[in-house]
Amino acid sequence: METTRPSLDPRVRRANQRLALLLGAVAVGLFVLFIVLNLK
Amino acid sequence: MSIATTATTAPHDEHHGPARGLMRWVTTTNHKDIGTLYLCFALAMFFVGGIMAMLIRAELFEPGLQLMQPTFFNEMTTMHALVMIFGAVMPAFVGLANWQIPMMIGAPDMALPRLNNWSFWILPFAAAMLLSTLFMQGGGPAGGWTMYPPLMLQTGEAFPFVIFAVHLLGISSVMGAINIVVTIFNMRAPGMSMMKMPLFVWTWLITAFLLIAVMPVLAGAVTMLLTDKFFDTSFFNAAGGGDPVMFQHIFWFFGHPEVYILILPAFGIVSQIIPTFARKPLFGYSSMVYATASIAFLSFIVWAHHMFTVGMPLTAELFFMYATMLIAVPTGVKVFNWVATMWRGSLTFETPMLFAIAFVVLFTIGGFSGLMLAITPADFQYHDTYFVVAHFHYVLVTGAVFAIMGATYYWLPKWTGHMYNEKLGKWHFWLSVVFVNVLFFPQHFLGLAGMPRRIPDYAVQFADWNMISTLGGFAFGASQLLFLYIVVQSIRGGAKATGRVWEGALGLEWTVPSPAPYHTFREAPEVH
Repeated sequence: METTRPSLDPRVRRANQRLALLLGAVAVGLFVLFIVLNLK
Repeated sequence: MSIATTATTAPHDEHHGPARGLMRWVTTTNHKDIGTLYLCFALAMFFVGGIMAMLIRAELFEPGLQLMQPTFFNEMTTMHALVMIFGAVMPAFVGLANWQIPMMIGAPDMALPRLNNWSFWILPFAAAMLLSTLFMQGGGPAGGWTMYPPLMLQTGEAFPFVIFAVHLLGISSVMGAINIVVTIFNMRAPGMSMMKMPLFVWTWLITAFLLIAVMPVLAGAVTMLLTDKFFDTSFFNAAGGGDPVMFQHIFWFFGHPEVYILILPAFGIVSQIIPTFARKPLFGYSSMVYATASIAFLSFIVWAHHMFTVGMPLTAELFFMYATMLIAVPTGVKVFNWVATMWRGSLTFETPMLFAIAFVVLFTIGGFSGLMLAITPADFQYHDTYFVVAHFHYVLVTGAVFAIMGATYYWLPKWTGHMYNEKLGKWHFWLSVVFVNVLFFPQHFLGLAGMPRRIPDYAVQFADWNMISTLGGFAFGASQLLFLYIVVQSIRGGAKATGRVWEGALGLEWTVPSPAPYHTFREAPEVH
């Protein structure tokens, strides 16, 4: 296993995770929205 | 762009290279390894999809049914599109993004390396599942890549597997896109402001937002198809109160931005290559950025131009016609900027530059035929003919694929540490550019004469141009074996590449040695 990747500043790591979660939530939300909009 | 960069690459720790053996590739979280995996996968899928294209062209060599049953022909056209779009072009761009974006913005890696590993390793399984449907009872999907109901619902046992494969491909794309957005927003080197980013990074940022916005829409559409088939819903079933035309609206709300997902990174690549070989900064950098964003915005409001003949109110037809024509404005800005960059430059014509120039000329032909298709009354004549096939192949083959090939030649020395064989590269270019036109240009004539697309047999008056198109197709396909040979040869050895590789190359990726060390920018470089 490669183990020597320079470790990220924990603040950057958390910021990355937060932004990724936000974008993931947007994607899931759009998926649900387009199905719900087609329910009658 | 006029950024000056200082070569402040951190000392690279030679003791910590990649893991050894097969597990290196399975467990890797290194952006360069994952980029390589994406590119190898895309190349393999390019040949798989290419074989399908050859089968299609072989059947169309002359009128009548020669080689296959019509159903299998329809499976080939459907799978060729799905494989080339989701298996070849999109993964190739993601591979290029993986390799280049961290190096171009001075980041040590992608922001989310484990997610990156998952994004890739979903792909081979999704592709295997998709291809396996060809061997199932009832055959693979044969209703076209657009998967319109009710035709798509007639697919045999393959149906749920196709839907699941599309879901997986979409999940992979969205995860890759999230990673790219986060990397660009949070991992740029100090001084690398947004308006100093290389154009390739900008176009990929906008592409990633498009992916996050529209891949869930496709997922939603195919999920509704799935429930219509297996859970007795009637989203698109007219007999149950549903509307099959609604599927077409939803599909193309995804599908048109998808077209730009397939071309915006190509714009970025050409915007990197042309300044390098013109030895001039890119003309109109900021206008290029705004033009890319404008194209992305417009892509959301033009979807129904794919459906003029389905029927819609006159005002809707007018709106979608004019909105579509509006795209020519930012696209024209780009084309003029590329030409202005070359104007009075110290031009040299190495293989990447040849592909970039061919892109500008031939993509513009595809753009113009797109404008013709945007004219609603004319579209009633062109719709579902070979004119459409010619149009989108000019955009996607001489556009997207040529840009990917240009990018490969451009960055290959940086990846492998070896120069490719320039003479063979030029042979590959000229063979490709001649035969791609022999392949696709006659299809304009066939379409204007009324030959429908997606048919295995045709009237005798279309025979001559079909024969020429097929000959061009086989020659173009064979030329790509030369591409494979050149790439493999460069990986195995060759003249040593310098760090900068090209005299006119500017940007952070050229400040590191060739081949790029396994870990780059362990300490952030300074960007002035």
